[in-house]
Amino acid sequence: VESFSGPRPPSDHEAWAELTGPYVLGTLSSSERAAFEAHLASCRECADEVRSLHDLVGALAHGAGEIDPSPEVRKRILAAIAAERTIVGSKSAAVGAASRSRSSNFSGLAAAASLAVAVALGAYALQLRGRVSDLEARLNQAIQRAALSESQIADARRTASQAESTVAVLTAPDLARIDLQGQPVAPAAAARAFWSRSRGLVFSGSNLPELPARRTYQLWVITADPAPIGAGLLMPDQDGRVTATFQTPPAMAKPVAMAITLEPEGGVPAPTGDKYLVGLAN
Amino acid sequence: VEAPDQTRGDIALIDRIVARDPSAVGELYDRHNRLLYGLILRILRDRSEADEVLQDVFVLVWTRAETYNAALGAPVAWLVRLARNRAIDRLRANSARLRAVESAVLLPARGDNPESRARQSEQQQTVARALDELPNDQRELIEEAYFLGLTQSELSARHQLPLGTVKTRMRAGLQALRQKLSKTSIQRVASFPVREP
Repeated sequence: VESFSGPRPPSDHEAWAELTGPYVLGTLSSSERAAFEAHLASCRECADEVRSLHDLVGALAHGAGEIDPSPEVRKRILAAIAAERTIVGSKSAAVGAASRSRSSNFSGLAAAASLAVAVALGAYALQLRGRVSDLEARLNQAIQRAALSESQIADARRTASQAESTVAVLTAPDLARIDLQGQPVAPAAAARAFWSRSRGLVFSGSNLPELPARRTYQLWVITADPAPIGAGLLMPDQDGRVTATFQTPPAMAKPVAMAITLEPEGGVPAPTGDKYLVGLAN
Repeated sequence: VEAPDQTRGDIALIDRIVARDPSAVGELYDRHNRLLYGLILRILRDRSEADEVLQDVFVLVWTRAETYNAALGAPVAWLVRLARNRAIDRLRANSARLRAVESAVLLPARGDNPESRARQSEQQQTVARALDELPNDQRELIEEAYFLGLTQSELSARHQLPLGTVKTRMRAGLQALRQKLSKTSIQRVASFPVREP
């Protein structure tokens, strides 16, 4: 058990005041911090000082200079969120509910601890507060870890199910193949698509140029109908490769051609951008 | 200085995140990623680790946006706090800590490079200038506490100073810094309640 041998209230205000800086800079040990926070509750002068120093210390972040992170970070964040949303949406709601009930439990404990201070169970209450805030921090970490592993499990599950549907299409008895060639904007790009009326569509491309910010590749299936059908969005990896499986409506006419265009993030109902790959059915 | 308009816009984005709108995370990211990345990189001095921490911060924003409390300061202050705490946790948890502490001795006190210096806003330059003007012994303690997460006892051992001297210098440095910055327009840049996740 940590013990705090710092100043004792209220005899030495100056000694407490010296801790305001270390407190806002986060350099106090957890027991010191708990003791200081208890002091703050009863010392307006220190509390005002801390509020003012908070603003000041926040400004230090601006002193570090602004630097661009890797463009991958934004994509990874949105992908992690999308995975969590589509696959473990209901579970994360459960985590949210758990976290809400946790904070109300803890504020209850904190209130109980404050009451103890008020009835002069001083030292014991301080220790208790320190332990409560330590436990809360550990619980928060555990909840974050749980949320992370949930999203990893979801990723793995999605990968497995994609692989399954890819195999299903490629082994379909009614398989048709379309080879796509790179267009002038992406002469090195190439792709092959497999389509089965009963099982869907598998697309595999390579040498696709890196996507500009907020753009996506969109795959179009062209049938005898005049309007191209948007089959789905494609996000190539760093090496410009992408493999994806899409469902197609059973009533869809046999594709006569396929094309990839560059479109705004999220996709569009009808093609608007440059064609990157085009292929005709045999 | 963060304009009230920007703060209002940030709060609206947080509300959309709480309402489970993922595009709001992208917008919040676009507004603040460079500031947060500069801070995280300053702490960790490793781009790929800093990328990971920045990613963690925004995934955390998505999962815990409802814990943001407007009474405790602007959203940017919350983001700065999350980023600083995550980066310091990472620094403490891995051997990079040792590396950073060592390289802090060798590198100029301001960890930024000409690339970032050239692109600093007026506000950043003001903060950097104010830090520059502090006496070395005060500035080092403040920077090492904030960017390296060193505790008072660690600072006292590292600089071979009595604990009391560390406290006094840190306090004097913060007061001097406040005076310098209050002369300029920098105020309430980022309210900064300590600790919590």
